[in-house]
Amino acid sequence: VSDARPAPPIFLFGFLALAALNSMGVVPPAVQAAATQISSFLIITAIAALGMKTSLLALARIGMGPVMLLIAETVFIGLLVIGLIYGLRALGL
Amino acid sequence: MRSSAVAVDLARLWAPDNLRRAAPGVALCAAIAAVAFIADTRSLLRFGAVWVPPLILTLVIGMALQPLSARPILKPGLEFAGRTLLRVGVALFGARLTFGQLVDDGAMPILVALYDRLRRLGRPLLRSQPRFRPADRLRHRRVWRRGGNGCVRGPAQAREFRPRPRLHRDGRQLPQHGGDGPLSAAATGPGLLPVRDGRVPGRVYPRRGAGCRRRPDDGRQGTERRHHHQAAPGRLPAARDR
Repeated sequence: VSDARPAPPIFLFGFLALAALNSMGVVPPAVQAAATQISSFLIITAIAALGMKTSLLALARIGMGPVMLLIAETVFIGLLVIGLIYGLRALGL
Repeated sequence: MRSSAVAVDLARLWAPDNLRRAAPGVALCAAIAAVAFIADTRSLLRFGAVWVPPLILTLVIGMALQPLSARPILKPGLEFAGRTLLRVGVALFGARLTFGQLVDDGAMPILVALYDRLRRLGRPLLRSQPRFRPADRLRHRRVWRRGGNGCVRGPAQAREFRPRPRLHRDGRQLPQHGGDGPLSAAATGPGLLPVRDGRVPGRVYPRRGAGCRRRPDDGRQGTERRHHHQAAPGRLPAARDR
């Protein structure tokens, strides 16, 4: 990718579109089951690729900084969700 | 433009030549995924109560095979699988979800149930801080107004005015009117109601001007009642209180 701007996440739009179709009940159950199987297999395949690209040696070489960043991000997202739930409940939603 | 650049990227990724170059790496990843998948369907990943998700198994196998990723034959396939196939998989994942399930399932109900449990445990705590619970506040105010003996105009008089204690025939003090607060269960015994400044903790007293009528004899009764009720909190009041 030559230009620095990140591409719009088309797959997220696809995710939302499929979830919308499924919410409207358009998707027949057979298609739904097939899509479920295919999607989980694809995701597992992708995780295998990510695992192969993950080098523990390289991770140790770059130090604890990025690892701590990832952990902090995870904790932040968790706290954000919990805070949102608490906040919405306090508002009576 | 951006959209056309994205289209070009997509076309490049799915071009037959690139797919052919990506094939070995994708095949290897698919093989690893298949191993994990089959192991999961044969429940080989269940160790007693512990279930290892196939995702974790693939991740471990992949990291064990990490030195292979430097090979130029596998590299395009790994890129393709780690990026494009992941996105396709996530997009297809939407087909199994509905918007209702996004709220109903997942971690949301667990968190909500957990919150509810904590809220029940912490209810006495919340009650003693009535500012956070407007509904309770209204209810208590109503109860107090029905069962109490008059209205309080301000904090100074609130100290002097608390509901008259209900007396048993033998002079024991009965629980207060409207004693459905958190303390009522623990403090229904006579003389157990803790009194601080003439107020019962955990109960909500009406604020100034909250729809109260002032009684004509407010001031006079207040001064004389103070002697009775501020004497000693735990002590029984005189039988001839009124």
